This record gives sequence, C-alpha cells and structure tokens, in this order.
Amino acid sequence: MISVQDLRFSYTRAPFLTDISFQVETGSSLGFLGPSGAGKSTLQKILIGMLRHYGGQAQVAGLEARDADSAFYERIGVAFEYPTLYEKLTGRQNLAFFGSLYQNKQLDISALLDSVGLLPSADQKVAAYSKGMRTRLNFVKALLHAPDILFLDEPTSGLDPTNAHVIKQMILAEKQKGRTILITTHNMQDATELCDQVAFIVDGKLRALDTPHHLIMRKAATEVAYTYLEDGREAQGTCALAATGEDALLRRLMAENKLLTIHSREQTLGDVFMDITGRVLA
Amino acid sequence: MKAYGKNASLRRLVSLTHGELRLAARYGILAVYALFTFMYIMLLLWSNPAARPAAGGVTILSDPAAMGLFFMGAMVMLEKSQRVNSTLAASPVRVGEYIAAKVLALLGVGLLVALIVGAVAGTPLWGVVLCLVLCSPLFTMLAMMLASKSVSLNQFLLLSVPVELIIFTPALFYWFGGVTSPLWLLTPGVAGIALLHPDTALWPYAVLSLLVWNALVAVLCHRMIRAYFDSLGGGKL
Ligand SMILES: Nc1ncnc2c1ncn2[C@@H]1O[C@H](COP(=O)(O)OP(=O)(O)OP(=O)(O)O)[C@@H](O)[C@H]1O
Ligand SMILES: [Mg+2]
Repeated sequence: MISVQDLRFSYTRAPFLTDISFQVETGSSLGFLGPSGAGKSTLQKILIGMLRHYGGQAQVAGLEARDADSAFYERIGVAFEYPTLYEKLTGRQNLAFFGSLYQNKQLDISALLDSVGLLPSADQKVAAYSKGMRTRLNFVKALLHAPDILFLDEPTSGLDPTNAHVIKQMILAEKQKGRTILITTHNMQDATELCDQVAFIVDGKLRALDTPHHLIMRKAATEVAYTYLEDGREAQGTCALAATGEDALLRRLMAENKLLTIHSREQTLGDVFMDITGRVLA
Repeated sequence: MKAYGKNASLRRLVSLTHGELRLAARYGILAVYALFTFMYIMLLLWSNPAARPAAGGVTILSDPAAMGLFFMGAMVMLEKSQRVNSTLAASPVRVGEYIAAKVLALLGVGLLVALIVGAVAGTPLWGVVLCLVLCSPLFTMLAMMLASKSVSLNQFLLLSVPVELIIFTPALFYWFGGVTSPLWLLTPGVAGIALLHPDTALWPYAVLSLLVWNALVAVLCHRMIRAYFDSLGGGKL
C-alpha cells in the first residue's frame, strides 16, 4: 500500500531526510517514533502529497505522492498534529462540511462524535472547545469518509489517559477493518500498542525498522533481579534471563527457598530507542 | 478506482460555496452587507432624483470592489489562522473549485445588493448584472491573491488599499467626465463602471476588456493559490 524507496527531502539546502526506505502492507500499521524535530511530520506530509519536492520514490496507493489528485485524497484520511477546524462552526457542522467534500458516503456524524465523547458538545461552536476536545474532533474528522489509509500525526497528544485510550481503541478498530495506518508519535507506549512496525527516526534518518517485539528482543537480554536476606539485611542480585542456570547464588537461593523477591525486567521500546539512537524520547 | 468526474467536482463546488456563505454569515459579513445596502438606499432616496443614476453607479461599482475585496481578504486570513486550508489541501478539493466557490459566494451576495441599489437608483439592470458578473470575480480573485501572500490581516489591508485606489480612481474620473478617452476602457475599473451607464454603445468594449482581465487574473490566481496550497506543507524550494 505504501512503498518508499531512497526518499530524500529538505526544507533548505542542507540535506535533512535522507535514504528513507520502507514498505507498509495493506491493513498493517507503521509508527514513526522519534524526538521532536526528527522529521516525522515532514515524512507524513510527503506521503500525503503536501511536500512535492522530494527525491526518490514515495508511492502511496499505487500513486507517486507528488502526483496526488482528487481521487487519491478520497482514499486517505489525515489528522494533522494541530487541529484544523472552523472555529465559528459547531463540531457537527465541521464534520458535515468536511464530509460533504468527499464522494464516499460519510459515516454517521452523531455516532462518530459519540465515540469520542463529543456528542454532548456536538452543537457547540468549536471556539468553545478545549484543546483535548479539538484533538478528538480533529481525529474523527480523518475517519469521516472511511478512507483506506489513515495518516495520524500524534493522535493522542495532549489527551488525558481515558480519552487517549478511547482514541487508541478506535485506531485498533480501524485496523481491524483492514485500513492501512501511519502514526506519528513520541509515545513509545502508543507505538507498542498500535503498530505492527515501528520506525525510529532521528535527525532525518531512519535508524531502525522492525516490529515492536523484535526491537525489544534486539536489546541486550532481559534481566532477572532478585533479593534475598544476607546477615539479616536485604541484598540484591541480577543476572541475564537466559543465564539463570549459570548463576550459582541464584541456584542456591532457589534450592534453599531463600528468595525474597524475583522479577524479570523486560526492556521497553524506549530503552531500545536509547540503545540504538543514543537519544532519549521526550 | 471509481470513475471520477464532473459530478463530484460539482458537488464539492456546491458544498464549498454554501460553506463560504455560511461563514460569511457567521463572521457578520452578510449583516454588514445588509447594513450598507440599507444605507445606500437611504442615501439614494434622500438625494436629488436627477443625481441618483450617477450616485448609483459609483455605489454599485464600489460595492463589489471595495467591500468584496476587503471581505474576501478577511475570510481568507481567518481561514489561514484556523489552518483549515491544510485540511482542504489534503482533501479532494481542487484549487479551481476552491477559487470558484469564493467567487460564486461573493458574486451572489454582491448581485443581490447591486440589483436592489440599481433598482432604486434607476441604473439599467442589465448593466448591473453584467458589471457584477464581470467585476465581482475579478475583485474576489485579486483579494485571494493578496491574502495568500499576507501574513496578517493588517498586511492584507495595507496591500489592498493601493490596489483599490489603482482600480477605483480612473473609474471615478471617467464617471464624472474627468477623462473621456475610450482607451480608458482597457482598465478594469473604467470598463466596470461604463457598464452602469445607459449608453450601451461602449458596452461591448467594456465586456471584452473585462473578459480579458478576468482570464488573466484567473490564471494568475490559480497559480498563486496552487503555490500557496503547496507552501502549506512548508516546501519552498
Ligand atoms: N514548514 C517548514 N519550513 C522549514 N522547516 C521546517 C518546516 N517544518 C518543519 N521544519 C523543520 O524540519 C525539522 C523536522 O520537523 P518535523 O515537523 O518533521 O518534526 P517532527 O519529528 O514532526 O517533530 P515533533 O515531534 O515536534 O512534531 C525541524 O527541524 C523543523 O524545524
Ligand atoms: Mg510532528
């Protein structure tokens, strides 16, 4: 569905995005994960045909992104990282208006508003919406015409945990319907939960691309940490999960039933990100 | 992929035009139009009946020109501040449709006002229709071009004042007999106001002149708005 080969782009003369290549199959999801200013939104804008002066290939739905036309835009849904809404119109009117620009029959507006908890404010002007309300409206606006491909730039940014959860469930539901989804985020938890593949992007470069599971596995083995009593005081030991059999102390403690606590410490995507890129995610 | 044709384009045009009119109402622009229309009519009714056609001509031209240009500029600047143009640029809406919708919306309102004023002033109504149909789109497109280049409403106003003066000054001189050469019909303001004069002998020249102006400005406007939509992504090189 999306095929990017040797993509290059810069806003200035100095190279910025370089050597970007990846594929996204129909019905799967890819997350761009990276610190602020890494080029995530830029990459997304290239794929939706809003930055046409790129080098290399960026094919979306069988079309080179720079040749995007009306038929192409019928098939994609975009939520920008900032809300793009008419302040003077109500939430419902905003959706009805944007929906009317598409040939596809639009989804039921009340149901969409309800799904993100905006039904009670449906007939209020967007000018009176809070930041999180705008983010939610901006999100459902992208789903309105049931597009094949979704481009979501930080869909949960600035939302409280409950609403973030609702949005994430909706993204997963879209995936269930066979939509291809591209998500931009600095939230590794979101990336782990939502994405089949994750791309680490730092300073305009693709530093890793794999399933969240493989990426986490790639990092030095999971550790086991345990505590026990020694001379009446609590002491701690660690060893690699893959080498518990070689840890004599652990074996003895286990044989004597002397362990106080024991847990494995799985690496998170954030640890892996730092390991691979040397950068901390915001 | 679905067949994709004129139907979809027409539907979008209707939606966009309706959207423009609704926003114009929300921003109070239609109310201001109504107020001005009322004021024009009052002034015309108070004035000496012999002076009415002359006053009516100036009023009608200034209406799509002065008001239309400012209002359209303000609407585009508001769109910019709400960043809705990003969504439009990533939607099936074509640049031509975006421009046409604004042109149609303002033409509709302008025509209504001009016909009422024309009827009160005793201006030939066919001339009013011709003038509006040929001038209002021109001013709307000029406004869009200026607004697409402006970063603030103030900057837009600053840019639009000289444009208004350049169009309007020759028209006033011509109307009140300050200049008489038919060569002035080559300028859009004079051509526009000539259509409000009962002497129809010059109308064909005025129409031709305005058609050429519209064609030129339409091409330029399409280019500039295309470039503006492209710039929303930030790519300039
Ligand atoms: N319109 C623009 N014109 C010029 N430079 C830009 C433009 N937009 C972004 N940039 C620059 O490109 C770089 C990448 O920006 P981008 O918006 O892609 O980052 P991002 O990864 O999405 O960051 P964030 O997580 O903060 O949204 C930044 O250095 C930014 O300054
Ligand atoms: Mg971004």
